[in-house]
Amino acid sequence: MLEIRQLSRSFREGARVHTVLQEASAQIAGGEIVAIMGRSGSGKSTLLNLISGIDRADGGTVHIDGREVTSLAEPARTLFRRAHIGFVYQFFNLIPTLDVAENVRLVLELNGVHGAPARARSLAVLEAVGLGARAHSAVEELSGGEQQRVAIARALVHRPRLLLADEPTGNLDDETAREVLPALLSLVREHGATLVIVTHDEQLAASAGRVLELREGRLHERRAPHPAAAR
Amino acid sequence: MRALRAASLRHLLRHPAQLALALVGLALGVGTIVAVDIATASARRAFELSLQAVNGAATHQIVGGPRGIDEQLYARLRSAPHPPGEPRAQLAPVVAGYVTVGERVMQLLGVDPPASAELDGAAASAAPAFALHGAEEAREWLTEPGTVVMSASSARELGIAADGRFELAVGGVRHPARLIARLEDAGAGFDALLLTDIAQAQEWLGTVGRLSRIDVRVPAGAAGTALLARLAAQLPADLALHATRAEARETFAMTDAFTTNLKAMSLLALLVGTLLIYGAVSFAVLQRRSIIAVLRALGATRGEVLAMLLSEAAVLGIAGAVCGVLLGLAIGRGLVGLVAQTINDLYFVVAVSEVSVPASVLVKALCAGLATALVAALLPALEVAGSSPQLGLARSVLERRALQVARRLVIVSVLLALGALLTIAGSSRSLLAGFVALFMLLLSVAALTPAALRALAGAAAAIAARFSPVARLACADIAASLSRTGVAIAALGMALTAMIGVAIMVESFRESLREWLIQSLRADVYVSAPGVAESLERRLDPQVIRALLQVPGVRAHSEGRRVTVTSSAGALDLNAVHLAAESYAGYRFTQGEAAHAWPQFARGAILISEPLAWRLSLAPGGRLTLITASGPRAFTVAGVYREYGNDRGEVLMDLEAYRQWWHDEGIAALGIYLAPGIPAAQAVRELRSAARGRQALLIRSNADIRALSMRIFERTFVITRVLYWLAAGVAAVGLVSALLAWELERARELALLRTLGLTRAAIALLVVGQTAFMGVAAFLAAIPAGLCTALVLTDVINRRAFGWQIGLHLAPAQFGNALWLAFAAALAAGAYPAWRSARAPLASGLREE
Amino acid sequence: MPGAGAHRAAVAVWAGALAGALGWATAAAAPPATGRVLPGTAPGAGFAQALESRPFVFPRDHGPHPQYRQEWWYVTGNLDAASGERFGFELTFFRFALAPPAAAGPAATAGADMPGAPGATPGETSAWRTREMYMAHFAITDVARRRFRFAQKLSRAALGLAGAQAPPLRVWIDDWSLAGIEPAPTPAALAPWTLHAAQDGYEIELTLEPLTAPVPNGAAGLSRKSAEPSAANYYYSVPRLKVRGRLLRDDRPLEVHGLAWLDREWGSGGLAAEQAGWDWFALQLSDGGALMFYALRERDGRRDPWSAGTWIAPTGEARPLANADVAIAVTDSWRNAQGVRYPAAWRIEVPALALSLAVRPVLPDQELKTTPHYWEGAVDAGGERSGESVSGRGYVELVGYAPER
Repeated sequence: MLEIRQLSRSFREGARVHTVLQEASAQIAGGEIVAIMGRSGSGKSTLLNLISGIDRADGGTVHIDGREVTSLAEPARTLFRRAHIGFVYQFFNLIPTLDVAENVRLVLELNGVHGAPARARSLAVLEAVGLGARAHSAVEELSGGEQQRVAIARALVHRPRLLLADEPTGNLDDETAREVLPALLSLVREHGATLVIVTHDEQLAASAGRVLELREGRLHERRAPHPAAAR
Repeated sequence: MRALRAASLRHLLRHPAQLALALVGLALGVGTIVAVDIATASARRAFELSLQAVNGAATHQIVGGPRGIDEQLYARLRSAPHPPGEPRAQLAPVVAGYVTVGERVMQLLGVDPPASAELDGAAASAAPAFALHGAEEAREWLTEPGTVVMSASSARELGIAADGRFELAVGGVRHPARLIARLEDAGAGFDALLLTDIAQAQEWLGTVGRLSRIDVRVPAGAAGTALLARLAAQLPADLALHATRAEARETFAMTDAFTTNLKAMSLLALLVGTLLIYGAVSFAVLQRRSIIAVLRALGATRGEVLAMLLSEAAVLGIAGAVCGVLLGLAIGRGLVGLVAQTINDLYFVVAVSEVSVPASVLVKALCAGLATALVAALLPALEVAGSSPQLGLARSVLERRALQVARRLVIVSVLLALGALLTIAGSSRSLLAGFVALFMLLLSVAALTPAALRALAGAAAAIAARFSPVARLACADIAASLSRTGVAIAALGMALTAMIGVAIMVESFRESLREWLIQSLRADVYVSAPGVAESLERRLDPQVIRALLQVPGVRAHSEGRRVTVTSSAGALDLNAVHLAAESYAGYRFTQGEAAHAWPQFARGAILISEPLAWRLSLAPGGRLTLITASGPRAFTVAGVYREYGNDRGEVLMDLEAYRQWWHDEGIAALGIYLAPGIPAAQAVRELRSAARGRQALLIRSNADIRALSMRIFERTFVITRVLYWLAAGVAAVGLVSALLAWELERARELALLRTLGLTRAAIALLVVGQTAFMGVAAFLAAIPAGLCTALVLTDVINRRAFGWQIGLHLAPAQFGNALWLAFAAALAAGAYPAWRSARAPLASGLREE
Repeated sequence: MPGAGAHRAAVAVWAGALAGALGWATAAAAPPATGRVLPGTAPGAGFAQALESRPFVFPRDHGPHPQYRQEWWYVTGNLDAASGERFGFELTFFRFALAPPAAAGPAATAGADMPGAPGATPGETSAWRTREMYMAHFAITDVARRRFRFAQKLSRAALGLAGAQAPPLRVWIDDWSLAGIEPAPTPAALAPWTLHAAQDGYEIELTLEPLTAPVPNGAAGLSRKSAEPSAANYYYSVPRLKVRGRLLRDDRPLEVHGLAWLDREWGSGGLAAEQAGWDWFALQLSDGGALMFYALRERDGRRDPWSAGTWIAPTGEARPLANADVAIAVTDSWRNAQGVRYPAAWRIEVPALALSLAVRPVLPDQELKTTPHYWEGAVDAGGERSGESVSGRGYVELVGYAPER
């Protein structure tokens, strides 16, 4: 489903060139839940940006469902991203001027779904993360855990094939993280989406079917796929 | 994309102060443009209406020299046999002049009704709405002395009694008059218009035997052209036949330089407004950088983001423009009076009783507002939409970018300044090029200000570091705040520059005028007949002149006559003088030598004033053709003299020569020299009593005239002042809004300083000190730029518009207003954030993200 | 009417003047329609009155009589062109005084009481000052083309723009004129005149040669119009003038000849309040006779008893006709676009002369749309006198007709 081939990316900072990814490769099957771990600054977020087409690689390719994303032009990458990829961030990144339901619906609208269908669909997803009652609350009235559940709802509302999560529990206390995580995993499973989680959280990694480690610009298999987790 | 629109709208509404200030900036800019347009359009419309009222259906006019046309010519033209089968030109004689009724100057129009009716082409049966009752009024009109007709509204304004009796004065001589009919619904063109029989007009104006002009109506097309050619062939050499439209154009064109100046000033206000909108919009965009990044990550395309930001700007632009139009309508009403006053002071009599608001002005204003907002939004919107949607760009990155921009702007500034120089050097006469250069210069200042601010702040930080880390921090903060405050500071710098430049120009002009008045007003007492500028009826009664000159203490005198003559270059003001020996020194030559020019002058050569020399590109030795009573004659220009009284320029001629060429014996003014030891006030009293009962004259001492001239001068610059205060107001509003935003953003940092132990007072001082520093920085940048602007205004704009050479006069007071404004704006901007951050509870300040 | 112009405003002022000037001459418009008479002043106060008959002296009486309020020179005629085409023409000059002449001379009204300011140069008097207006109407009836065209001129008697003088006679406005030929080739009363007028499309240049001496109308030249003694004019006619000359139509000259009629009246009175207008007939018959009759009409439509006329026999002998002498029956009518109905055919019976004539206009529309409107047109006549068949031509004037309600 997701195929990363010899992906490279380096940044220039003044005279110094800082290589983040160097021919990183990985193959991830449809419906897999994969955790990517690594030290701070190892290039985990860069990898997500390259997969989603937000950033461009210096070399290598990313295929999603057989489509080579890396060769698409910027507008096409944007359109591909909005149709097929969902995002969950560490700092939620909800839009403060929109209420809970509108934040979710925004993604549908970007994909051309408007009006009653969009409303019904976003409400259903919010129900699924247990926030149906808060649909019309302002974002800042929500707790951190609730905000992250809204972000999860937003990431999945348009049924993307691929969900990218960047430290989804990084900004939550343990207890809250334990509430949020199941919501994420059950929804992903329900949708049959592929989930790639960048995380420091061993506990989170444990719930993934497979763990890759980013080290010196390359992806290393840390643990074989767990048959049960893959299911 | 309803959610997107909702997000954008709610963002605007969540920052009402920011929104309001952007709107105010735009509204002021647009409003100023609208106001100036309305004021000039109203003056123009009033002028056209009055001209229409005066000309009626005439297509052409036969005009003569200062003494008009011999009435026998009219009789000859009318009774001349004409080739059979050809259409006839309709002719109507007109005797026009100015009279005063109470305080009000009115145009007196003497007509011959049957001829006018014929010219108007109105069948007698088609009696207009305000037809009179019948033969009785016609009998009164024709046979009773002093009967006049005017519009009902004028009659009401003048408070004319029911029996219609009132007094009017012509050149200081009073006459009884009686209103026999009031024209209802006469329209604005009839304001200040007094109709009377042609015989009565001749007698009142003292022009018996002469006509001011003959109105002509010819059919359109080839027949009309042939007719005109034949008519022109019948005219003696001193008369000219021209189209009424041409006359209207030419007359109003006198005000071109004046209205261009006004428009430029209003453009300045909009330009300042543009920068502010740019500031507000880019701030609003940068504020949402993270949100926009989220949107982009979620899959909103660049186009969608750009469209969102631009439509926001469009909404803002339209709202601002609508407010601006409303504001402009209000300001315009006030400005109309000022513009009309200036036109009356300087050019011609026009009564503006109606404010006319052409639809085109409103459309133009709306477009200008919209375009301004869009252009202002385009750059930041492109920048944000185009950058890769990575989240969490640090402020430091933004500031680094702003710094790069500021550096690049320095280059732009240098290029603009060079462009201004090249524009001036590359054009010698174009006023438009002058204004283009001026605006380039102002923009150059705007572009330079951010870098200058940073450099100043950096230097200040280095010095402050020796005293206190907090002071250093404060200065460094300023240097690092360019992304927020740069644009506002630039706008302020530009407005201050314009302010200083205009102040220096006005002061220099004032000084030049003062010096010129002292030098040129040599006589102790001046006597003139009241009336309108160059009108023929301004004439001193010869008996009165004799009586005046017999007043004890009168030692010598000059005589003058001011008229309008026709030249190869259109109508010109001619000042015919017989100078007392002392008066010669009153003329200072800017070209030509007094020693050569005066003897030539005595032999019939002319002198011309500086503006005329500039306008006609004439120099000593050149020739100017004037239409004399015996036809065109080329006069040699013996010299060019300094003269600030008349921006269209004038011709100075010896009175004897004038009489010889134009057969006009009238004298309009006397300059009287008193024997030593006689106080002017006493002489004025005695002269007045000598004229009493004969003619109401303007008898004023030298000092009175000087004071009066200065008053008129100040009056003409009132508008300029109003406009530059408007521009400055726009800039001040912008600065307040930008600094406010910046300070509010820094709430957290200030809270941190409090936790580190700074007192509330110290915090307040810090904030106010920072904003004051910015104000002063803008002011300092504006000083050299203001000087350059003043140079451009005096040496380029004024020279090209009027031909005057003005020496630069500098005085500290010229900078006072600008300094005051800079300080006031900066303090106002600092006060509220200072109060707020000093009061804010520590915890909340720190907790915020 | 904003912006219509001062000239237009002047027209407004003068709409009244036109009506006034025409007042007596062509209509009874002055008293009732615009009816304002200064309290205590009769319309003709200050003017000489036509109260007694007087002998006319020529050529002096061809000229103006400025001491009377109004006066006119009225020339109408029928012309034949060499081409066979037929024309009618009317050229009329009116003199109308707005104020009586002052004792000190014509300009005194204006100059003497000009309140110049004390000490100012004693007011020069403008040459435009006048108390008299001249008006002229020029109409052409182009029978073949069925066209009727008219033009009007109005001017003050000043600067030589308009005026009248005699001898030799000259009445003019601009380049329209009626003038005696100088030096006169024949005795004073029969001296020929020239006549010139032009309007769009038509211009006439004619010589008029009197075939008879002037004929006084009314009581030896005094023509009373009502019971009011001052309502009278001095009135004479020259019933036959031989016309020769040139008519330019659309720039093409046509040689024309024919017969014209001159009417001269002056006086200071006006119509009585109950008089609405009049029908005036001037017919030149094939046997050499000529008939003039004015039928004054009252407001109720009846013929006014002061109607009168003159019969000029082929011998030249004149015979006054009283109201009762002439019977006129209207046999047809014509209605203009404004709804004014004019009579358009008549049967005129003068039993005392054994004269019976049917009179019919050569064109129905010969109305001058001036202020006020009136109808003045060329007519044909046919009938019998003393058993002999006669034909004739002439002019009819119909004044004071109002729109039908």
